[in-house]
Amino acid sequence: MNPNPAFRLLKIRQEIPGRTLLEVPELEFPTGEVSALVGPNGAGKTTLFRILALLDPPFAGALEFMGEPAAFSGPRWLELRRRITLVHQTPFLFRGTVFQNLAFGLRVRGEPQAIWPPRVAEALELVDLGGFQDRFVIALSGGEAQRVAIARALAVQPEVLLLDEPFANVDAGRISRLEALISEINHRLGATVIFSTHNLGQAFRLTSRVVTLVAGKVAEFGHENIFSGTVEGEAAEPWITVRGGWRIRIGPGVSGRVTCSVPPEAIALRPAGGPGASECNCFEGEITRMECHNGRVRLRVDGPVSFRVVLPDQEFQRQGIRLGDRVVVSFTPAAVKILEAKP
Amino acid sequence: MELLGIIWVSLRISLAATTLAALASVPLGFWIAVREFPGKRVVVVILNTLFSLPTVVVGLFVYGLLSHSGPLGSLKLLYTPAGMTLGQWILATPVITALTYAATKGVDERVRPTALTLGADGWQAGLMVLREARYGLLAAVVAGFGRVISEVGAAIMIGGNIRGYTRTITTAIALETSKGEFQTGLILGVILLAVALSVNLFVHAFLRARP
Repeated sequence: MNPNPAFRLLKIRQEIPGRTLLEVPELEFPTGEVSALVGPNGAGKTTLFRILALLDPPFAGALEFMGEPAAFSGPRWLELRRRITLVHQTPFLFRGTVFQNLAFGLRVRGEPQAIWPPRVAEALELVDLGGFQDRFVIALSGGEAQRVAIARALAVQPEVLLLDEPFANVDAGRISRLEALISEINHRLGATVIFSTHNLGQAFRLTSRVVTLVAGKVAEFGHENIFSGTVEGEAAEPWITVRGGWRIRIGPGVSGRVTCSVPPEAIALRPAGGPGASECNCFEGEITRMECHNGRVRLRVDGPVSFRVVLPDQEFQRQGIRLGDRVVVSFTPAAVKILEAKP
Repeated sequence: MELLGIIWVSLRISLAATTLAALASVPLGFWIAVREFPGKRVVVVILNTLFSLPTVVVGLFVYGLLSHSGPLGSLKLLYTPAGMTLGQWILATPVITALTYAATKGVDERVRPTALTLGADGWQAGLMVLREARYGLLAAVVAGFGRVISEVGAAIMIGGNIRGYTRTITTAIALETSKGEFQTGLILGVILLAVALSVNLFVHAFLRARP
């Protein structure tokens, strides 16, 4: 196993004229592990993936791949690119058959034709599409096309597999299978896998190595419960309106369009139905997930607005909270962290 | 038998001119589409304008080049099929180049990065873009062929309509019409369409075999 991280980014900046898309002072993705990249749309996930896949050179900064400087041109570029494969969020399949698509990476590498059929069959089996070799890609459903694209990347047996929003176009029934596939690719093939999602819970289900991107910057760990909205109300008691028309009160002094986060540790829980303070941010919901982690309990409360909550173990024990309980989450306006404000 | 000879001359010259034009224009159109360079827009506008290049003007220009006292007069290509091929090559080139440019531009922009990330080198990725554009490329070449087989201005000025040598379907139509033989002219027109139809059917069959 390579002791160096698969990727090390140093002072990477990517921009288009007039706008910075990504700014990463320092970041590493460990070799041989699954990492998740989490963030809302437009946070820079795809931009980062295109740099990691060596498709776009960064505007500034240095990228190391397996301990060596990455190349974005010349023969070394080709050599490095052949060890990394990116599956696009809305993948493009070449005209022709599924087999032609899967064999493409083998063909351009000059692999002997004799190994194409077994490698293609193996990759298709992994994504539950055994026997699809002779299908024409125009006849595939959206979900099948997505899986063919993943199989096409697996066929070349990359050291690093980058999956940009692999769950975006997958029907709900297949999500858990795809999650299992990601672990399998990592375990069985030994590949380093980096995938992006906007679902933090999903990220944590698959790995403890989660990188959060907000507005092109790596957010400190713990930036969960992220909301965006336009500031309304009086200057002293402003709020933003989130999906479903619910209001989240925030601290004074900001205006415009904001992205904010409610730290899971700053959220208090109490059983539903009891008396409560009306001035604070209170949302009722049901506990749908519980995980223990280093003396703390991570909970998911699903309601009209869903929250991730972290409680110290003792507090959790004291309250006697169980899965399926109805609870009220509450937090003060001052606890809401403003991550970004645009006029 | 004379008719078969005329069809043969037409086909031979048009196919040769289209093939030569395609060999230069497809790579050129592709290159213009994928590269950024100063004045690119101007080049594209000029190419599209050359669609309307009058065939007699090209005929006149090549006539001047090839005539006895012209710069290429010593090649003795005036009134020969080779000279006509040169004129038709000039006519087909902008059409195929501009349509190749459009076809390449129309290819999904994910094709190149997808090919690259699957391990293709620059050439292999470029070929994949061309492959995805192949319907448009064939349409470009067919349009170039249509342009040259149907034109009369350059063919008559450079070829001279010499019976059994440089007489094509279109120059024969012009001759028959001027003689008042409208019926023969019309029949020749139908024959020209039939020839064009055959070429298009062939191309279509080729495409259907490779979806």
